Amino acid sequence: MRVVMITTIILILFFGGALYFSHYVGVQTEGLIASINELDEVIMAKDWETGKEKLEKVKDDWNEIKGVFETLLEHYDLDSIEVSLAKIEKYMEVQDHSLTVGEITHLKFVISLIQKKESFSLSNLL
Amino acid sequence: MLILFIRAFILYFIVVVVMRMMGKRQIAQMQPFELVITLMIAELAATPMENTSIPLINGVVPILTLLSVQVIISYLSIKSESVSNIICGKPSILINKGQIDQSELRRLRINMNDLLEQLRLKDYPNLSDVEYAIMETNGDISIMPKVGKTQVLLEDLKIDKQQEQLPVTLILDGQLLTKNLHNAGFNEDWLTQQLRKNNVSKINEVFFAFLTSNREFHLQKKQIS
Repeated sequence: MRVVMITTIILILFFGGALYFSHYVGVQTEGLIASINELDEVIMAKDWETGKEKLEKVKDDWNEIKGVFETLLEHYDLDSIEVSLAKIEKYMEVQDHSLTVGEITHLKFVISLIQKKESFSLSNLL
Repeated sequence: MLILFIRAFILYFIVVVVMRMMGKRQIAQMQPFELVITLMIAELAATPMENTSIPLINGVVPILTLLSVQVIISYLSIKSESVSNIICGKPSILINKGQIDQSELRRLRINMNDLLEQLRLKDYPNLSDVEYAIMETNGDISIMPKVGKTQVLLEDLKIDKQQEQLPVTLILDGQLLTKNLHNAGFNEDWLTQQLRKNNVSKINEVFFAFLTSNREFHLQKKQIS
């Protein structure tokens, strides 16, 4: 009976934890995408100086949530975000507009992909 | 490399704990759903063990979830006959009063050769000796032979025998199991006497020593390599 109680509690904790984490990923990725959109607007206007500040904000936002994401998500997508951020920084340094905009779009796509993969949906279940 | 080592360590202990919590059954005695879960747990533990890009929790959560599901299903099987019938199935009578139930054989997709093989494995090579043959939920076949074909029991010969006790292990690989010794009603002085009778001076020279069901002392010394 004790084992049944323990395992039932484990199930409830996992289910609750999974729901909370799904919500957490949704909220955090939305915030990150909002920061990236701000960066995108500034880069589209070719304001490289402000762009550097915006990029630092994106990196700070990412570093805040990276620890939790690394514990619970596969590393392939997270590594892709790190590579993207490094590329954006370099492209901005040489002020290559096309590549910077392209990489920003790639970064947004990867983050929204993480959001979609972690959401509770029929396509993910199947 | 160190990460792989530690992950393997952690996952191994988690799987051991989980298998202990699942209960004691040999593979051959497991219900189908228990065997499925055992195989799945092995696969789930292997994947994060070898791939460090996958978080450890991606292995731990499914393993613990399967454990929880298995324990709850087992518990419900005990509490409810209908749940038990759905999950584990019901035993099937293949031979009823000496007659083969052909529809049951067809339903279970067992051919005569399979049935005869199982009867031979149970030491009943003659179909005519079998009164009932029941296929249990774990796939094993139980046989009830006809009267006159059963094994002779002591009570058939009207022989009285005292109930035997469990054998008790006293020394294992040079280590004295004091609790077993005292539970058997003996003490260290008695054990020392028994060792001396067998030309053994120290406990750590003994590989295995035990009391039989008839309370006789036996030992085997350690081999000197």
